[in-house]
Amino acid sequence: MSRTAAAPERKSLPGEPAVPAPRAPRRLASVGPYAVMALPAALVIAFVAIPIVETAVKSFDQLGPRGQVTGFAGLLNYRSLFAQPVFIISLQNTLTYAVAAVVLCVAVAFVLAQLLSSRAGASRPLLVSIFSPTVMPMIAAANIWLYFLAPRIGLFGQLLSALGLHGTNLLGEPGSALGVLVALFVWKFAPYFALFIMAGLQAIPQSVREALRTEDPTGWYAFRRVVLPMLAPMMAFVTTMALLYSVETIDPVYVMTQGGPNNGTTLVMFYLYQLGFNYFSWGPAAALSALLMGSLSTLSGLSLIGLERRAFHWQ
Amino acid sequence: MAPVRLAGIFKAFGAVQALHDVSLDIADGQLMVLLGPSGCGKTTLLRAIAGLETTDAGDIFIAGRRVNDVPAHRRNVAMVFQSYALYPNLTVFENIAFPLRARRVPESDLTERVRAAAERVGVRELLERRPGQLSGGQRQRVAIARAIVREPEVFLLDEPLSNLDAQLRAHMRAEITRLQRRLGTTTVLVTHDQVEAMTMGDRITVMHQGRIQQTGSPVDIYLHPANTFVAGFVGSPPMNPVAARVAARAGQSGLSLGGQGEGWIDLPAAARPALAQAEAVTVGVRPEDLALTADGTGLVAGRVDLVEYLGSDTLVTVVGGGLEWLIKLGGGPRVAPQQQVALTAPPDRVYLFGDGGDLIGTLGELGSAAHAAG
Repeated sequence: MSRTAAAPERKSLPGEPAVPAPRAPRRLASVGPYAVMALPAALVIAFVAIPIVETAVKSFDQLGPRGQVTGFAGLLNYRSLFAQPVFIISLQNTLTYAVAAVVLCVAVAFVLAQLLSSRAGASRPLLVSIFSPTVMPMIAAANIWLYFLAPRIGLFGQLLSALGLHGTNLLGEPGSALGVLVALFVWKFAPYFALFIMAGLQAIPQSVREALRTEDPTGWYAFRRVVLPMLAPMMAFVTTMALLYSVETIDPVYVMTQGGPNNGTTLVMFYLYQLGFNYFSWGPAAALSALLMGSLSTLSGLSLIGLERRAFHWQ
Repeated sequence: MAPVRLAGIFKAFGAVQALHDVSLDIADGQLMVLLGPSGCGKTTLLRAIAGLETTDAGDIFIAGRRVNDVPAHRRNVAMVFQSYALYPNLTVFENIAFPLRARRVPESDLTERVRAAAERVGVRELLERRPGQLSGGQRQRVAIARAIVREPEVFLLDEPLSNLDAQLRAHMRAEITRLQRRLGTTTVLVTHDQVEAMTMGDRITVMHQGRIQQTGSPVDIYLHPANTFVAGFVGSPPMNPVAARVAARAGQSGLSLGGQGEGWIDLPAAARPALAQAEAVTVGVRPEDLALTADGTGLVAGRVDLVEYLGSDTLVTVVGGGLEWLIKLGGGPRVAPQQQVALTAPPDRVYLFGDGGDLIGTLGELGSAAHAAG
């Protein structure tokens, strides 16, 4: 062994050090990336990882009104959470809201992307007006909508009055109030997701589109068999993101309805906020946080895996 | 029967005139090659025939029907794209079947036709694969199968061989030509490669800067180039262009070659009327038409500068005065660098082009004989 290992070694010349390669730069190169990562990693650990773990752990503890641990609770926090009728209502509201918001938002985004991809649709003022909601903070957007919807004085109220529907208050009925939240979500996020879908459309090679133009009489078959499948990974991504955004919705509820009327707009994230900061019911709040975190990260993880599988690479 | 007729086509992209008064007749069953350098408008013209590009003026007729306002899919043309444009998510079978499915061809008929088309181009065993699993040549074949499966009236091929390596290119060139002859379908092929044009085309249209320079058979284009552009573009290596002036020497009018009169061509009386208007002319001789003379007399005398042995041929560069001549000799090298030689060419292979670059005629046609300056 020792003989074979020695064979390829180069004999040192007199005066030359036995190990000629300076190793310091290599060591630096292996340490360098970690040094660069240290600060961001520390921030992520301090403000994301530790709170996540602490929340998950504390969801099994009895917590006092200041959040201090007063004893072990086991599954008590989870049980008391599901014993609350308002929590069940918030889950139902969130389900209705999320399904409606995601379906409408993705559909509108898809149509927008198609329109904007065609040369006729892509005029500059139109683009600016369509994308302005996207760059607006949700709080500002919700406040604007509040003005629009104010009965009698709001733009919307006046339009309805002109149609003979005096004193209509869309935020005053549970069903219509949730509908307003859905509409706001679509208005705010559809242009944003349209950008992604446009990128997906542009990734389809020009010659493939032209080949389709020379071959398919109606365009529908081409769309269904080629364009849609090539767009599928992007659509899956957009749908997942829209779902995550919709479940996370809280600011418009806070600004516009405070969960009312009659808990008609209490979404699960707003309920979580109330549990903690209105009722100081920290134990159930931690339990709900842990549940949301688990389900949302599972959802996004699964969709990422699905995306990897479904994405095909061409050329 | 599907002849294609183009009448006075104009097309501009902004300030760039891509097509300028293009008129062309393509007979039924013919393979017409559109040949030219990149940016000459040949692809734009092909796309206009396909219906992928609108025109600013002029008419396009396919099988006698004016198709200006007919959308691409109703023109009954099949296009093969430079990048093949296969649908990446569909199998080879589904790619070839696509045009038939889009037209709701019954399933039983469809399978048979797809298999027949695949058989024709030799991709029968690849039907279950996806385009990503195919080589460039196989993709090309699938693209052709997709074009022939619906039996269109016209095939449009946009640089079909440019993405293949040299060996495969020569093979596919012959294969496409054979297939086209067998099917007898009118075909328009765009290329910038003169070898493709010469070998594949029944007729060639040479284009430059949006205008048709010449249309004719490969032999016509080669032996009777309409102008200096065609003469320089077709032929490899290109024709030797030499600037010349109409001049008089010792009472005899002739052409003085080069800036300082490094060579001289006598013009007999018969040739003078044709050159009466011309001050400056361009004399063109193809490298393969030039020969070295043993006795030292010819068009021009000079010294061998470079000898390039290619195996079947030898390229010899001769410098005479300020002029450089490229000569292509069959076989091995028979001269050495620095050797003094004289060049000669048959009079009917010495082309004279006028001021604007248009062909006046060959020396033979003009009734002259070439002599060396001495």
